[in-house]
Amino acid sequence: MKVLFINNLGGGYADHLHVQDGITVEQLFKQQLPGCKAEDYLIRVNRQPSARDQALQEGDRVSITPLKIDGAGA
Amino acid sequence: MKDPRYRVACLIHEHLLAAQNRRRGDQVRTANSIADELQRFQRAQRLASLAYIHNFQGALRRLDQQMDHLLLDVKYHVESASRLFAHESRTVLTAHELLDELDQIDAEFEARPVRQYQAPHFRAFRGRDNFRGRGLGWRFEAEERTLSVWTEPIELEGLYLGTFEIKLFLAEIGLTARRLPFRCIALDPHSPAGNEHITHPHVSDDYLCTGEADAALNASLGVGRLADFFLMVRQILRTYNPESPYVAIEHWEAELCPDCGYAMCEDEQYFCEQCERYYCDSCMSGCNCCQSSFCRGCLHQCEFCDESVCKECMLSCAKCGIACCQSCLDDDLCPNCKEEQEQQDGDDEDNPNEGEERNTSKEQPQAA
Repeated sequence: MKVLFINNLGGGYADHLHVQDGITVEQLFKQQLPGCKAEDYLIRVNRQPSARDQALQEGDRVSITPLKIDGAGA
Repeated sequence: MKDPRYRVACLIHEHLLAAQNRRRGDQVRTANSIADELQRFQRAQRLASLAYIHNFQGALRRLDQQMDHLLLDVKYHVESASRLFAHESRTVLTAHELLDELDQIDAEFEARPVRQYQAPHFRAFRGRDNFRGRGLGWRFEAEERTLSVWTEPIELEGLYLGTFEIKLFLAEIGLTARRLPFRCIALDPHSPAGNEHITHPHVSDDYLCTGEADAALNASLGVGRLADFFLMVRQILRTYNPESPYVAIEHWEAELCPDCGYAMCEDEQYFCEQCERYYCDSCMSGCNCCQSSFCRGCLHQCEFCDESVCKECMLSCAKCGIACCQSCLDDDLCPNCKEEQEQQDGDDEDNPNEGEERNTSKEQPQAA
């Protein structure tokens, strides 16, 4: 099945991904951001907060945004 | 169609399309520049070949330089074009999708702070074309063409900074690549001492330095993922990067040096006993006579030795009254008066009667 994955980390991109049926939010997160902790990100499925074990559906929109983003200054 | 939120979504959509068109114009211009520069490069290359055949060394050097510059220009424009074309591969969200974005913003962001309703800053938004989200999580101002959201009161490492309004200027989207078209306005500013332009370690004059999020913010704004855009800005405001703040948190409450304005930590402050204020190390100096520490403003310069001395050590000459440091005073006389006196004493020793005569002549008018 196909989902829209929006990654607001680094360059920020939105891609349609082919994933296995019934994949959970946590599994997709681990696939896309290996080595990262889900608790360090705002994860939204179809613009709503989601549970880790929520199974994704065809056409779902998943976005991740880091909780800590370094600004700069001088 | 009557839903005011949908009208807002349509207006945002129009601005995003306009920005996309501007980018297309930039693409054409950049592509033309690359083509022109490549033509000029080819011409220079042909001339360089001729110069080589005829052994025109001066012309060859000049043409080599010209080709170097042209290659740099081509490189610059190719890089710009790659950025512009990368943007273009994405499609701008539709008005319906933008409506979803607005609803997400409504859910993600705080309602406008109630305390601010009465503030003069907010009175301006009651125009007939201004709309706000159902949960009051956003506000659209028709005249300014801005979309605003509000953060919760922000606190970084125990430092209270208050609520920020994140205001996106829709008409400025895509106008310049240098600065993203939004401001972070502190509604209850808690600036560091003596620097009211800074309202957050990463905000100066309402501009947030977006640091590592620049590309992601540009990408989200380019297509209209407004919820992602505002969420990222909020997360930057919630994060403290000690590597490069405008003003470090440890210096926020610091006292400012009254002389140079440097924000001093507690262990960087030096007390001037004369004016009873604290100064930084660079603005403190010592009295050359008593060796005590004073601020520069409380030290005086001796006219004779040019050294800095404190008020206590700066005395007056008993004869002419000129200010003079303790070290330069001799028998309560400044060096000039002392020299004069010594000269006079020398003359008196050479001709003792002259002194008496002079004394007598001085007394005569009194007697008369």
